Amino acid sequence: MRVLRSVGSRTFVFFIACSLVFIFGINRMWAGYFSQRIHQTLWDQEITQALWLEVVDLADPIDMPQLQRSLLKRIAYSQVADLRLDRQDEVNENPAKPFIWGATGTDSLEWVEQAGLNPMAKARHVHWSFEGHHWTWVSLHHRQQHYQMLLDHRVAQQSLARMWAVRDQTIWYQLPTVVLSAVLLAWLVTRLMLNPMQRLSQRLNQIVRLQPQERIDAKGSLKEFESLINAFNALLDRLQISYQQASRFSSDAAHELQTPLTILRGQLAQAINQAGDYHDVQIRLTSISDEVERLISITEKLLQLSLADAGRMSLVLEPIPLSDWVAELVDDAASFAPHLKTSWQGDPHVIWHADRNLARQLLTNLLSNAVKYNQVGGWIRFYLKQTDQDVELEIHNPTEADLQGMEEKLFERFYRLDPHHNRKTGGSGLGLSLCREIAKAHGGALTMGIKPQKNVVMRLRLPLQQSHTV
Amino acid sequence: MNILLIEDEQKIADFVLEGFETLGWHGVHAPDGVSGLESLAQMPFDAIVLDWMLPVMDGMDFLQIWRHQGHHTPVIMLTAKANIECKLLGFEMGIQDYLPKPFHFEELAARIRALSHRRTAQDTSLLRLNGLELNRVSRKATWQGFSAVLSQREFLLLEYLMLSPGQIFTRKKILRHVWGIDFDPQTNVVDVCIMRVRKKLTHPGAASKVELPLQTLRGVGYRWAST
Repeated sequence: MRVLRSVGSRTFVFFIACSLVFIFGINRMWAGYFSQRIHQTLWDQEITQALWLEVVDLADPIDMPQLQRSLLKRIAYSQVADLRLDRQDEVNENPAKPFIWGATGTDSLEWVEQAGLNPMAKARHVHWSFEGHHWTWVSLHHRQQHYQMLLDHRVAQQSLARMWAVRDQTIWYQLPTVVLSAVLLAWLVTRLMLNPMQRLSQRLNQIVRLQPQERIDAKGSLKEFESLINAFNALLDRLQISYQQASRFSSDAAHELQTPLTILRGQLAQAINQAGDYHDVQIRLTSISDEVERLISITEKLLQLSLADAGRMSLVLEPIPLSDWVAELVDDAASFAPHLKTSWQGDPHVIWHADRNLARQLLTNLLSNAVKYNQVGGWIRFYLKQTDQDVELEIHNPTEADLQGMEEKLFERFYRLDPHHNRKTGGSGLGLSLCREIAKAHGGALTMGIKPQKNVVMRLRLPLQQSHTV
Repeated sequence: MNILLIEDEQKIADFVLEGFETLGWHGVHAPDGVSGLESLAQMPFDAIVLDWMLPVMDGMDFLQIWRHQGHHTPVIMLTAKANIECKLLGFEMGIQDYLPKPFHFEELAARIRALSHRRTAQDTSLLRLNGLELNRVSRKATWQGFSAVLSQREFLLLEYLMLSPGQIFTRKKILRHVWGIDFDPQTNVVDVCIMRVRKKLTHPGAASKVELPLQTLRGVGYRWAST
């Protein structure tokens, strides 16, 4: 039940359930009270149709045998006084008028107590069958008096049915009002409860994304949120400490590596120059020198990543003719990877405000990837598109590697798709991760998509105007 | 040219000083700020190469004292901290240039040269070496009276080699500097580029060809021959 995973829907369901209980429980009693009043009015009308009516003071105890005898007498009397109406067989043309049948005997009188016929505590129906005809004897409290009535059973049933209909009607009339108020209540309560929560979550998001140094002041919020906020602050503190430690570690490690690397690079260059031309030593030293350069490159990337992690990647923004740069990239690709068909299309006058060095690094890294993970007889296509707010650069290329489901993994640091492949072509497994950080530092995003037939799409989205520097 | 190197790492100092020597410059090494000030009191220098993190007296304190004394010797800062705050602080303190570690000696030499050119008001847009003139603005190269405009990559390659005469550069190093790529594309793009530069600078009709001092060392790399 995904729908029920929101506080709003849960509150709504809760209120609807409460309303239903209200309608069919409490409201039933309530409606009962009303229907009793209706009942009395109805009975007031029915009294005129009653065959027999006797009023007994409430104070006097009802003597049932006495009442029965009185009833029988009444029936006998009606017979004697020939009060009997026309006997029109079984069909009563006018149900409002009760039948009176001539009684041939009194011994066949049969009393049937029908419990539950009337929910009203103060009224009592007795079903009385006499010579195949049915009567209802009703005993009713009204104004401190017992009204004893004998009604044709069908008339009684009809009155009762009318009463229930009125009661049900009241319920159904109430239903929309009740549902509406449930909705309103749910909305109101949800708003009251969720608004502060939404504000809190917005603030948390803001802190997580933009101001990791900030903390929330628990005093200004609702009491119930205090422990949540405190827990969150504590979590942020812990995260920050471990983050700083991790970030400082790689930054310190990179710094510590700088000096020995400087020495290695300098002394190697000297040794290469001093070794005789084409001497074995010279050739071996140059290959060592290449590895040292690779080590330096990794160290530099680690340092940049640690700066990015600390949110201190420094940007010197200037307008960059992105279209020209992309065209240049295509030319470059044609020169160092002539086996690939490279092309670009898009707006020829896109200007992007970015840090020159980082932007250059970002683009060449992306191109390097497209070349490295291409296939025999492959191609690279650049698409540059400018909208009102941002620039979108897409780099499409086919690949031999199966990248399905790897879209995020490839941005992980030191992630190697195929170590053997990497060893052959170089690379540190840091390039894409750094590209993403550079895009992020410029307020943009770098994502990867896999299209059918193993086509890779690198999508770089960059805001046209740099709103903030990280 | 007299250059003072204030650097606590003996091994870095060794190869830098040796490099200075091959360039015909006179280098003096001081392991910390205090001995640096002592050396400066003994003789004048054309430039100071200053490490930022030093024992006894660090680069910042050294600069403060040195500038406070009213001296204007150009200073190049070497540092392992390659962030912008550090750079800005350095420029605020009065450095003229900045080089993050690990650096290439050739780059350091080029920057010292540029600084001394700036002081003597020479035109830095022109690079002249072994009879080849390279215009850094128009990318025009002139060799034996014959001029050709180089493409961006050809220019970067030639400039890279010319700035460090005698230094051998491997293909990977060149790829990284000129094309900005970190991997080996397994193609002969560098050779092709070198060939194009040679071709562009060879007068088609010239009878006596003087070889361009752009050397290819098979299996090793490329070099601008030093005179």
